[in-house]
Amino acid sequence: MPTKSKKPATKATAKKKTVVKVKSKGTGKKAAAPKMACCRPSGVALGIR
Amino acid sequence: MKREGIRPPFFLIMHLSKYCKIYPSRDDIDNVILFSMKNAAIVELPEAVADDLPNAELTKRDRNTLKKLGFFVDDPQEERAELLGFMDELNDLNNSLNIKLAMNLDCNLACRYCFEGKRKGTHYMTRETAESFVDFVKKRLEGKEEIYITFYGGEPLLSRTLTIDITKKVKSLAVKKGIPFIFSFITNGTLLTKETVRLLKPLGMKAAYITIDGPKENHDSFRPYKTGKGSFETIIRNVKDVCDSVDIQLGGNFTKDNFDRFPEFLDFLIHEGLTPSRVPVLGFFPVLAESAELGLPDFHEGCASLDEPWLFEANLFLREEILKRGHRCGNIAPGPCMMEFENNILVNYDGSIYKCPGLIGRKDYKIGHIKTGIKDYRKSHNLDNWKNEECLNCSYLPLCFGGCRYLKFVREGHMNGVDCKKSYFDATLETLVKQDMRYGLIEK
Repeated sequence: MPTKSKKPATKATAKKKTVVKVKSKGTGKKAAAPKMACCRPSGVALGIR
Repeated sequence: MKREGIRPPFFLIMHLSKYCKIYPSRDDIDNVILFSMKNAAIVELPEAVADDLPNAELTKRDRNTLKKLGFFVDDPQEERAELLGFMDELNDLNNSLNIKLAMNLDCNLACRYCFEGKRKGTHYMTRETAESFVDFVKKRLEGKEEIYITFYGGEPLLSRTLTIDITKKVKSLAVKKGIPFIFSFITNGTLLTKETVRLLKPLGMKAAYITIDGPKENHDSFRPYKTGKGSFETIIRNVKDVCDSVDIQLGGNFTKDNFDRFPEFLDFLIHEGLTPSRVPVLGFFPVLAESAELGLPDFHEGCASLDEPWLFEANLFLREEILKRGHRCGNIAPGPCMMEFENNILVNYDGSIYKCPGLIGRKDYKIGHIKTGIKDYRKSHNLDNWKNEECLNCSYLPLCFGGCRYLKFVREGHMNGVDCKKSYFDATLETLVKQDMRYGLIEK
């Protein structure tokens, strides 16, 4: 039946075009609040949390 | 039926965030990764699509994903406003009272490079100041959901008895208010014995940050006792004794001449049973060059800038060595300076208040006292130094926010302007992000 053969084809096309793979959803803003940031005696902060 | 995979009409066109970078994928030569500085989100997609991303033919799902993760923005002006308000938003979200408390400016070690240099001496917090400190905490608890104190020095464990008294009193305040109280130490580790942890843990001790400068020979040369005797073996013994009771983070300070020997120390830790399961987090940092006015006159190997190629190499090298042995280290994410956070302060042994450990004892940068309160320091500390066109147009802004004001001060004697980290991030960020991905440091 034409309708039945059409539906899977549409789904397949849409799925094929999804090209963005999420590797990390990232952190929430709250995570940026420091617990220990920059409190390193004698050591220079490297921009790494 | 919804239409998928079509070019969006002009009124739906998104803009690529200014604060993201595109790097080649490490797994697929046809793909690239996008890294967002605003939240450390990472996506992978075909390079052909990324070349003209806002106009690319994407499914609705892909467009929503990119928007949700901050890679697409409706309006660049809105994103600019978001960044300008970033710190206010963080301050609204931050309900933790976070105080670094310098118990003294004395030490049992004589580190060759100590950045507190000439400021040190037999200066100890008195009982009266400790009482005033507890009152100060009490007055600042409104709206707070947590109290976090980092005991600092000098060497804070030289003031163990007074530290215990303070923690008992602050714990009592926290219990009355029904909020958690935790504390940690930044310590040289020589006095962090099993007995000390046994006394402190029930009061809320969570962690200790201990400095070990690489292999024994190097550490003992840089961080001896005042008598000249090495401190390495005592510290390692203490770490072994307490690391199963409280979190221990090991940090070390390297120079251009010794950083390549630090992997020997990492192997030593594992050989001694201090495996990643017992000491999960490590981090090594370059020794800071303090100004001649306050620094130690015989030490000249420190640096006051990240803008040095050897530092790019050293940081990437040491991070890789730490991660490949299974330890963790700081991940790449927005990390503003503690000066930007209203609830983060440093209280010195005499009750004076500062915004950064590096500024202890510099009278021009004292922002108040526990008895008299905190004055407005926005201008004196140049809090808005990054609110200029160059920084707002820089992809790295959310990772940097004007950099380290203290480094700027050490280098130039003032905090006007920014401590730009662009060269550093240009040289290292791609590798840092890929390290985070490879070793699972990213938030999935």
